[in-house]
Amino acid sequence: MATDTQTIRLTTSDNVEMTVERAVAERSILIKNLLEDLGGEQTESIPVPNVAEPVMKKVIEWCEHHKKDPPTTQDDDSDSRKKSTDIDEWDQKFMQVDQEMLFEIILAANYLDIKALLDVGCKTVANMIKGKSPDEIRKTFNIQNDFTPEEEDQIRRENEWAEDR
Amino acid sequence: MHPNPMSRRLDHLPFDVLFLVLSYLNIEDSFHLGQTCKYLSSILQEGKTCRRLVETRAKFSYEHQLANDGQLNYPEAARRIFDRRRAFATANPFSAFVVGYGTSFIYHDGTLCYFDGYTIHVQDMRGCSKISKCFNIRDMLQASFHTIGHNVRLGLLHYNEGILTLLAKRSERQGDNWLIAVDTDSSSEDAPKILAIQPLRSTYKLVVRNSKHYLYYGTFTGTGNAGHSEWIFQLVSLFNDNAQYQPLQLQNVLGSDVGSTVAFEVHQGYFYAVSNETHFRGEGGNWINFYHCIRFPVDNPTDGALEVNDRVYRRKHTDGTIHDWWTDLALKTDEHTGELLIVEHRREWLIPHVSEKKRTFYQQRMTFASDVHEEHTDSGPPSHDTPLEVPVELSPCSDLAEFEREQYMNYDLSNKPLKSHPEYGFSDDPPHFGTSNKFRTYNLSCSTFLDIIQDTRQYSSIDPTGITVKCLRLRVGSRSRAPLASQKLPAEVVPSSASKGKEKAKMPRYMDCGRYRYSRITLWPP
Repeated sequence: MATDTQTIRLTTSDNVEMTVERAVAERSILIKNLLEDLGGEQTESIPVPNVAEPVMKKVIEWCEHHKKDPPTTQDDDSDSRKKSTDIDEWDQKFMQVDQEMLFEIILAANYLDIKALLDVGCKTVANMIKGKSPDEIRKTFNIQNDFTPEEEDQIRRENEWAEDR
Repeated sequence: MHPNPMSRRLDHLPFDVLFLVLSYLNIEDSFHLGQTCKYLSSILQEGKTCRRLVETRAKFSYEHQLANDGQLNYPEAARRIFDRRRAFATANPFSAFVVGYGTSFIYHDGTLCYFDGYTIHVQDMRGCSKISKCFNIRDMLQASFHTIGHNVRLGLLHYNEGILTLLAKRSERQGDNWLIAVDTDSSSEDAPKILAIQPLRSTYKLVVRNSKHYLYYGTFTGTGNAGHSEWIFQLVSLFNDNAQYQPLQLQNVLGSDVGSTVAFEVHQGYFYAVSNETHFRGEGGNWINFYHCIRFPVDNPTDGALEVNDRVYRRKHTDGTIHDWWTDLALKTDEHTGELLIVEHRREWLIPHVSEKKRTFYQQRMTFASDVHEEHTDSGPPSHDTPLEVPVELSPCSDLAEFEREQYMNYDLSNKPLKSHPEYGFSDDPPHFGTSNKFRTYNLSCSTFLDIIQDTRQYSSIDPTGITVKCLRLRVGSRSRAPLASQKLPAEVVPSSASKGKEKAKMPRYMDCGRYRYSRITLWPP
């Protein structure tokens, strides 16, 4: 049963127009709601002022891979005792980008309201933090230490762990 | 407002995104993140973030209870949990002082009860409640129960949920011993009152466990089918004087030494017992040792309500020889999941290092057929554990089939770092002080073992009377989860649309290899 796949056009913040399958774009709740509000056939390009083309491409790539996933329910993380940072194989590979891109994807997922992608991004960040000392976290994310020496001294008194086993 | 919305960095992410990141981190990791810079530290001063952190990561902690009752705000509660665990794990107490003088004491869940003559002091040591109760138990007994008389000797037995139990002994004769339960609830201003007085037929290995409403006392005085001794438990209702219950004899709970070969606990509406002494399975060098676990609803001590799991793996003979004198067995609640875990300390000559006695702290989950099976797959210690990969759902006491035996024989707990915490993380840690070990315990919430040792080496001094003064010291070792191992993938498997053009460092892939970081063994006073 061949159906002509419905497409829509998106204009990114750097003014690049992209044609995307509607079902793929609708992984974004923001776009889905927008399309529903507009109703009927959408001929005009939808502006996405907060997301640049390279990031949008990554986001679309993720949406394409996950377009058949069941929609996430709003409250499925209510019991976070079960919250796991396990990430599926494809998503792990997908997230192997430089840090700037990782945060771009997270911000885009947040803006476009793609909960599952936002979760994968945040899990990836959490995995980079787990088990590390404040110094190691600073190194990993290149965070500037802006505490005063007194504040810093208090933090340093924390236990120092040495080797992993 | 985050400092620069255009900058794509962790420390510039908006609050709602950081909130989500934090939902995947435990309390320790969250605080370490908060200690990196001022902006990230501000998220841990935020009520909503801390509330979620405490509610999801330490729901069964005392601090959560206080925050829930409005006695602490959530940022304070989160901070307290972090500080408490750190103080314990690093042997770095907030303060140390003499609480009082007495002839005996018991300490349970933050409450200290001690005897000073006939005066009992009950004091909440966790600092929030300022109320401490102090009462003369002999006066209370004489006022209401003349039969017990004047010349009675009293001993502290157990304290839980405001209920203190004592043993009153007039002589060794049968019928001259009583169990006394006193409501000392420190959260109310009411004077302590005696809730129950129970004449005891025997006090042999007497053990008491209770909740707010139900009290169990047990003695090792039953006789099993094979003529061996068994535990008998009697329920006493603390709210209904007229309730009568039949005693329950626990079959196949073979251990007789509480805290070493058997442990009992009342937890979330159930009475639990676990024994590490069970019938042998297998012959010669081939036997496998399982914990024998039972439970029944706290208000229904009957054989019909009893659930058994005798397939919780413990060890096998081929692991090496065990030094039984050192074995400690306890049931402890996980602050994160509320689950009751078996925690055992053993000293073993583990093969292949048979020349060294090694101390290890093991933990194992108990499951029962009626449990709703939940997976706790998170990665922080110690609750993020997976069940045994070996079958546990066999019918009670059945013999092991050959294929099962093989599975068990190939199963090695020392290869399961989540379940076994070796004493030494480093080979050059100060050695153990042999038999001068006065007290041992393991704190699940911060994966820390604590010994109280009598140190004669550094603190011995000769006082004017010529007596050698020995010093008690804390000896603490802890561990925490190591960062996830990162593994860089070959370039071709990385999706192609990732940043083109300029070369940027690709993120490695993070994998949980179950590694830990071990602290140095620390003594206090230092």
